[in-house]
Amino acid sequence: MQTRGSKAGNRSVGEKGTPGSSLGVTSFLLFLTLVLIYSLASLLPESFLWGVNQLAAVSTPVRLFLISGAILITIPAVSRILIEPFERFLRVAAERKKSVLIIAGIIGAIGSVVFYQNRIITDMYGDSRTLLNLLAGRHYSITDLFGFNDTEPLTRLIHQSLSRSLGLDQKLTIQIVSAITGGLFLIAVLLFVVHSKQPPIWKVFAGIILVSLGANQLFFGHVEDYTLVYLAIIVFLVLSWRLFEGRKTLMAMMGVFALGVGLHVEMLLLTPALTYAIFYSNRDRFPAIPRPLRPKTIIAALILTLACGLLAYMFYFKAYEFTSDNQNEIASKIFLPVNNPLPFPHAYSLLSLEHLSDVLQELLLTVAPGALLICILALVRFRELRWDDQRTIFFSIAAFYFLLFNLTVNPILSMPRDWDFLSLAAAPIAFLSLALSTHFFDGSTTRRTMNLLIACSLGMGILSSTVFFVNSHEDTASRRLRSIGIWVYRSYYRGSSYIINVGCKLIGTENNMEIEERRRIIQELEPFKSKHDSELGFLYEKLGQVYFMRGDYDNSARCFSKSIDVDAMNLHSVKELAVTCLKTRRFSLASDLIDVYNQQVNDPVVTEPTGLTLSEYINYIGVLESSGRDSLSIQKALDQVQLF
Amino acid sequence: MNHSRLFVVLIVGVFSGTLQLGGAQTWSDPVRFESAGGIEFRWRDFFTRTDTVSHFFEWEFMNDTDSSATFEYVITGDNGEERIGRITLKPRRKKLSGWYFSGDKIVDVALAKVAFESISNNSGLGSGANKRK
Repeated sequence: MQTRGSKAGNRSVGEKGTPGSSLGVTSFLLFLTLVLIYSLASLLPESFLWGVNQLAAVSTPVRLFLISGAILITIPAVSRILIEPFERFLRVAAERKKSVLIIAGIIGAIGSVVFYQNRIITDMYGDSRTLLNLLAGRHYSITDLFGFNDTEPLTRLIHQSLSRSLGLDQKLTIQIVSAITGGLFLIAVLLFVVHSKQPPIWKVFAGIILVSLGANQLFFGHVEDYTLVYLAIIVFLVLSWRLFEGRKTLMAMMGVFALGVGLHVEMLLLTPALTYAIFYSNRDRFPAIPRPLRPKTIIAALILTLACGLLAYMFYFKAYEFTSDNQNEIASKIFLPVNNPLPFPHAYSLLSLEHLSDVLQELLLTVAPGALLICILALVRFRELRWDDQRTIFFSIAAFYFLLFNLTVNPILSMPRDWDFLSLAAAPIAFLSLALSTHFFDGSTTRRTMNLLIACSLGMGILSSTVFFVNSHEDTASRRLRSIGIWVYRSYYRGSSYIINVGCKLIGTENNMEIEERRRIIQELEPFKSKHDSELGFLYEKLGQVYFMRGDYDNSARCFSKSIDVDAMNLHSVKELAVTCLKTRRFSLASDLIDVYNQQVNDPVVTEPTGLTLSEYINYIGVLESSGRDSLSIQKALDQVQLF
Repeated sequence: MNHSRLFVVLIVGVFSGTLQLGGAQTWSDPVRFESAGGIEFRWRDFFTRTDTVSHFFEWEFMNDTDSSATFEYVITGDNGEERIGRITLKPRRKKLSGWYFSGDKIVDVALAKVAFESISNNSGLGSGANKRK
């Protein structure tokens, strides 16, 4: 049941002589604006523009080549050459259903290999390390699927079972599953576009949008729990698209939904959309049902859920403020606070500009720019679109709850690092844009305008998809990690030093570059440091370790001292300074420092035995020294002292 | 003394997966020294490394006096292994240390070259020999 809603709804958005005739101009201007943003952001790698600054990690010639390539594609003659063969292929494929299955299988297989070959080089994104530790230390079984202790039991069960049954390393298993899931995604996309009841030119557009989603980074061997649920969400949305095309897919949708909830609890965000689909499917069977399907009723329901959410935020989660800097409290409150006790500029909160900017950057990173272009066009031409179209309503509901979640949840590892956790929103937003785009591809829009829309989406997709390349190569991933780490330090703050540290480690130890870069970053962050700065303390400690490894004990000691200065709670630095003092034969100071360490860490309960053995070794060297042993013997003993 | 063997345990963190926590972390009775009044020693078997079946003993020297004390010590395990060291303990302070032993317990602690601030007590090794555990 598709009703014509607004008065303007009957007017074509691309019709000549109407406001719709400017569609091409508007979309091209938006395209140029986004290309300009990508270009400028590439010059500001450490800024808030982390969702669009992926070009900063590649060399200037490559950058210029990509930007000019993106613009070149929009030239009508060029776009025609690119689009028409695809269009012909999709037209033929729609007629040969058996062949399309074989072609989809081949594309899926090739895609899996490409995803795996270009897998993410670092395990810094998401919580890969914690996940691998968890899977190594806990055995998952079917019973875990029926408990509430885990938010993603089925994904973990699949990963663990495959790893054990195939005898493969857990990390490698997850990487392979990720790449194969990517292949399945490509199959699903191809089958979706081929079988949809839209014109072939729209199918080309839909294919570009779905393939250029930044969230597809999950398929590049990403070691986390979001890949399978992302595919489940895509399949759910494809089935729902088919539902609004008149197919009976509701039961399949419910099955995928149930499976998806087992894969990851975030799937529950689709509950309101599924409820709408259930009402929609049964609208003819029960006369009372059309009422809840009305836009006004839906808006009222959305407001009601928002009110309930606000009450839960205030009184159940008590998330409006953090009373401490305790990690357990932060994690248990799930959502971002309105009041963060950290000092400026680290007081990242629900209403801070940094957070709102991060949400936008997350969207730019994980959603295809073409999809965002359509959403912006739809808002610009708000009055010309049919917003009461059932499919548009369904995808709006789905996208709304994911966006609301992204806006309010606390990304414990910071948003640039935890992009995977928030990337699931990309799927409903992409499908919402596809639903909206049908208004622009409805036959009355000129062919030239439709070609331009596709070309703009493809051009921007090329620019945004560079992130896949950036994260799959050491040097570019290193640059990206360092730059986003600096932004995280200035905004979310917590965990920024880990990102910077891994980025610096990837530089390699062949020359002095790593040390120089670490020093540069510390110098850059110094003006923003707070009174007790654990992140900066960690960075000083890591610089001290690099100096230590090179045998530069004086600089190493300076860095460990500085680390303790900025963060008195960094007891690792105390121990490391003790080791450095031992190396430089300042035995008395080494002894005093290790006493401080042991009293903090090993008294009354031993938590770090290395502090005790180091203390004992200092005592032993003390005997060698006092007994008048030759310097060579003492040096021999000292040579065996290492930091780890 | 073989330095390599001794220092290997400093990388104990690497082997943390092979550690088995001991029972209660219960301290021994304090050992006192006739030649060094005010100095006390106690130890406990903190954990056992399951791969090498070696016990990690934690020990503590305490200076219960108002003077700074410097001395050398020899700690002996029941398999005859020894640890030697030299420490300076400030007044009313303690020093925690620890090491691996193949035996089950510490059987002897002896102090030597004991000096309280400027007062030297050069009694020989064995001053605590009668305080065996």
